[in-house]
Amino acid sequence: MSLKRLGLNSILLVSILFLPWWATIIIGIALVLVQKNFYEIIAWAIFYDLLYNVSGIDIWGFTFFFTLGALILFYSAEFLKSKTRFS
Amino acid sequence: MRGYPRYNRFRETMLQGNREKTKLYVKRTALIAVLIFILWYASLVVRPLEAGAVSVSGIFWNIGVFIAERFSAAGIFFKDKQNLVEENTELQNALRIAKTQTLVYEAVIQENEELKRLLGREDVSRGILGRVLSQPNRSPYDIFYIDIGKDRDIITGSLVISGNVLLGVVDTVYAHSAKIRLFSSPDTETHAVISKKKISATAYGQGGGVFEIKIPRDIEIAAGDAVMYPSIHNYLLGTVLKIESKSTSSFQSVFFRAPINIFTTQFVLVTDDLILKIEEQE
Repeated sequence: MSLKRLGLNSILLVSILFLPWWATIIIGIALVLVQKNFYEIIAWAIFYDLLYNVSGIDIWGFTFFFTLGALILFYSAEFLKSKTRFS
Repeated sequence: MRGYPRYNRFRETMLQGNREKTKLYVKRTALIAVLIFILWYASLVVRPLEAGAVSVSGIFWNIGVFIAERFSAAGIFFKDKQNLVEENTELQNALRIAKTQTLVYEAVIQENEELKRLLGREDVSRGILGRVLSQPNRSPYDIFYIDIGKDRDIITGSLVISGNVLLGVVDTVYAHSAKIRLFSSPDTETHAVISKKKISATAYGQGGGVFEIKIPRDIEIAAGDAVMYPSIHNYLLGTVLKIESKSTSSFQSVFFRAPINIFTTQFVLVTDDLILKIEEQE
């Protein structure tokens, strides 16, 4: 893993642990757009859901909403980047 | 196709590329489906991962608390002197008012304790102090972590307070930490009593420390009214912020919030009391 990628992952980890959740979402979206194939966003989203999910807030027993969001974000971003100059 | 070798080569390359892309697409979709299946159904896999995530996070949170405690005084040097003088004056005035109110409050508490003693219901509160590791605004679900867990015999369902304000309940206990769910967490229902009118109701968490109660429109409620948790210990849930009612509805919505800033609370007390679940009363 390059230093740049390591740095970006560190930023996301700090954001998950110390920043408000909306800041984490903004940073996550920015990192996915900036970094090519930032698949680590899915792993961090799983980490986030493991840490902060609550029993009772679910849809048919599914509680990993941020993971689902990260999957959608990752594939949408890669698709958009391939069609625009953002890649 | 005959006679067009360049086109044929191009077509072959495109088809090969498309086949590879399709294979990649199918593999990725299968991987995502397996991942979602595991996260959805395999709690045996998820629970240890959750405990691991909390343990790792606990290390960073403790480092964060250590740094915050060491450098909290540094901010004072950057404040303008005039601002500090004004702030000091305001705080002294507020303190004078608070001291007066405290005298009345203490007298009422003493009378309340005496009455309970006479009726054989002494209020002996026990609890364990916990340091808040992560603030509720880290997630949209109004939860936070404290630095005590199974090592201090914390159990799920214990009520968590700050002073006399009831904050929430212990949701999950780990080896050295616990997840606390605030009663204001979305989709959370809590027993509540609007103390002025002695009206029992169910408070629904709205997130961000805010609750909602729906009561009949003809009941008069004012901003600032106290909302209590039905318990021998007089736990305060919050004070009324605003009331909303529509002419077409026979109910009014009362929004209230805890009187303390849940986003800056540093210490909480985990009590011996267990939550009274809504379904137990029905």
